[in-house]
Amino acid sequence: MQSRIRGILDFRGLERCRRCGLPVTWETVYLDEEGICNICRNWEAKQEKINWEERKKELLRIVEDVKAKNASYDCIVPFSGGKDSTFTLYYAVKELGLRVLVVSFDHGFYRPKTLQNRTRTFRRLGVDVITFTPNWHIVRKLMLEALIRKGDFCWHCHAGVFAYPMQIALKFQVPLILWGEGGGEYEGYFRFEDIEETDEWKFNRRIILGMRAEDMAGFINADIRDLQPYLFPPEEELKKAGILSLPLGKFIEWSQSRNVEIIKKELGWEEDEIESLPGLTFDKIECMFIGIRDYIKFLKRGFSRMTHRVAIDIREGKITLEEGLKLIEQYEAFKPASLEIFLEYLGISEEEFNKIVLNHIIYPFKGVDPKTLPVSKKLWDQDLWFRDAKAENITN
Amino acid sequence: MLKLKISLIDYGVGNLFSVEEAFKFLGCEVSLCKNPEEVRRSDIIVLSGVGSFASSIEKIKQKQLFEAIDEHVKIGKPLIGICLGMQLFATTGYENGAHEGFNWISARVEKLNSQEAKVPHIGWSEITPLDSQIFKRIRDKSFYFMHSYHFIPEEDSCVIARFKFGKEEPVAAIKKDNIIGFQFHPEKSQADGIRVLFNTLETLRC
Amino acid sequence: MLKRIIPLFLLSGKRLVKGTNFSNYIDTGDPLSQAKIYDAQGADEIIILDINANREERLIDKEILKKIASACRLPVSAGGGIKSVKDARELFLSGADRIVINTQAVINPLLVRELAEEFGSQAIIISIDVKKQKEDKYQIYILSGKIPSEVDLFKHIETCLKMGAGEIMLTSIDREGTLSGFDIELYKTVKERLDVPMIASGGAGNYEHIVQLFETVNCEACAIGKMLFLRDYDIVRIKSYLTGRYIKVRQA
Repeated sequence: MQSRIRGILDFRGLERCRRCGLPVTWETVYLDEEGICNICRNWEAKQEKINWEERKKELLRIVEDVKAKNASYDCIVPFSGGKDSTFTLYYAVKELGLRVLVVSFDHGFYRPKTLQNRTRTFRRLGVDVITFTPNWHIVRKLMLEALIRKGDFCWHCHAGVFAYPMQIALKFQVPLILWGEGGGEYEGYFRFEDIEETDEWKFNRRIILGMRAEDMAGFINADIRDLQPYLFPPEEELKKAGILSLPLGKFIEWSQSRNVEIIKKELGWEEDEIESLPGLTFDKIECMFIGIRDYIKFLKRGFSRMTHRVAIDIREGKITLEEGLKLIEQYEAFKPASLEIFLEYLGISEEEFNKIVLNHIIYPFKGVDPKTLPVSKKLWDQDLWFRDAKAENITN
Repeated sequence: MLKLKISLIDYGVGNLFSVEEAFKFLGCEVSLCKNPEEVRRSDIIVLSGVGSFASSIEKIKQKQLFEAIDEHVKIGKPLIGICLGMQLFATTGYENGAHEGFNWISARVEKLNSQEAKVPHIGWSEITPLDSQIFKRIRDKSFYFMHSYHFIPEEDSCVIARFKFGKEEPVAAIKKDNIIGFQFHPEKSQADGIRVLFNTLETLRC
Repeated sequence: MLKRIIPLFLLSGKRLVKGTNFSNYIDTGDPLSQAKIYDAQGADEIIILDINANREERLIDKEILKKIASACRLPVSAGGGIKSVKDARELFLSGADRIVINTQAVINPLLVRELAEEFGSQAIIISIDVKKQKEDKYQIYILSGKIPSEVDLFKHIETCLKMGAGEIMLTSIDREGTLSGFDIELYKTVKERLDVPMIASGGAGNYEHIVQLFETVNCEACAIGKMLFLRDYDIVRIKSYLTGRYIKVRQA
């Protein structure tokens, strides 16, 4: 069943893009005749074809219309405190002059540095904030169920972050919801030229891992009302209220590093360590379990966060593929120290965890034995994380 | 969105759900026409159909709808035909004998040539669009087909799209004055199908 | 024509299920919810089959069918317990674009002719479930894979074609739910005898399986189950991959 190898093979024999190093086990990646991946090609389209001036004009027109409605809030910014939502919030308040309601879905895993970043951002910008924390008993069941079915425990976060702000928009009749970047940056799902709304179609298509709240309710034996925060409001109601849900990244050129420079300078936003990259980073620092997420990706697909960082740096001209592959070899094969906490939160053993995850290995990756992996150093704040979440304490 | 009144001819055959929902999605008010009075009150008629040419014409006549629909078209009101509904625009349908259609376009309906490709023609095929209005802003050119017979007009002027069938290029869509017909199912052809219906309604409205 | 990628919905009661070798079924979701998901993901069609209908002597739930047909902008084929033209008509009026018959086609092949004459060949799919026997022979099983039939596979196919079947869906019970790949030999052998389209079903586990199926057998469609419902794959990714491997599919 071997297809002709068009890319290059890494030290583990995994085929990768000749330009950016993304492997064939990643989502929608395929390599063309020259061994270049469709993500690289899509990125080329971004450079050449988009008229950003026109896009910006359209955004400003939309903003004018929204302001004219004189609603209690012009705009909701769904917020975590990571680089993308922080930049989006900054842009909405400072550049677009919108009256913003920040809506933050608390997945339960915010880290101390992120909480600091959030508070600093809110105080410097001056915004109203709603933070919603869902029922932990339900979250725990959803995490385990999603891990078993899809090898991805983040369902409650994907669904909640997306659906909950829409519910609030409806409740408060807020005419605009501004998200971060659009699709096309990292995956091949949308061809970049389409202007797409961030709506229920997108929710059903790629956000919720092929399972909606109605499905999950049956899987975890819960009343559908227990899954209220994860329900996308009906399209007709959103249309009637005239609510527009748009990704900022489709209207302005999106550069991660440039955005981070801006929020560092203007909001004092600070980087943090994560388990899957050396040193400080701006990448995915808001969630305790990003290390676990990256670990699961490594067990399933044979690559992890360093590969993504390398791909972006190569495309931005910062390093060569050779340098990138060296970093990948050096930094990807490990077991995160935070696994201990994750297993405790979920109430499963490492054997059970391995059994579940190794069920999801993606061809052509041949898998790796978790027992052979060295454990990473604990993050500086791991001992500060909440630890009363032992499964046996939950009376359910 | 287009707030138009659509009348779906209900002659007791086949799936009207998808058609109804597709037009509702576009903001239209959709009602089912079961008798000639309802037909006469219609603004825009949609004629879909499954099964055979002969049995459809028969059922339409049984329900006394034939004259009313014919009048609607003859006085210049808009009509959209889908799949078999489009085939009924023809003069004659040759399925198990010869049967008369509405004859709004000089044409005949015959079985697809199984020497060229598999019959029935089921699935998604790419079309060659020949009308920039009806097919504007579509993302791809593939639509869902489900038929064994095809529409052969005497003159090509009414043809606004074709699909490839082996070496042949049968008719995928037709347009003549106030009537438009699609051999494929726009209501089952996802986003591009909806876009085609939108463009069609825009065109017919003018 | 473009190859069709079809999620296969198995309905048991009011929920969808997925099993292995036609047993050990587990819940895979709410049918309407899943239909909305696959509509958004750009599936080419949905096939929904009630796996208990025939045994329980009833028809697949029409209300569920109506809801799915209303919510989705793609073709829906439905089956489960169809025993007559009247049954079929009820399903068409409830939103089915095509109907699927399995057990009844074996027991009463004339039904196929009645249905084809009434509704047209294009609306009739004959679904056949088989288990591999010794010496590369295949045995048909009816009633959701429970009862073996003595009818020869190739004879059955020939009969169905003569009666006017519009498409054949062929499922390998051995491969179903195993994620181990399609039974290529089975489809190759059957394809030669068909002048109607064929849907291959049973065993898809990764992208390469699907590529291999279309490259080797060149059938018109494949039905996918466990790979979509219980693994980290979706239609968008599958089609993206197939496109990269030069299999012509409609963009998701």
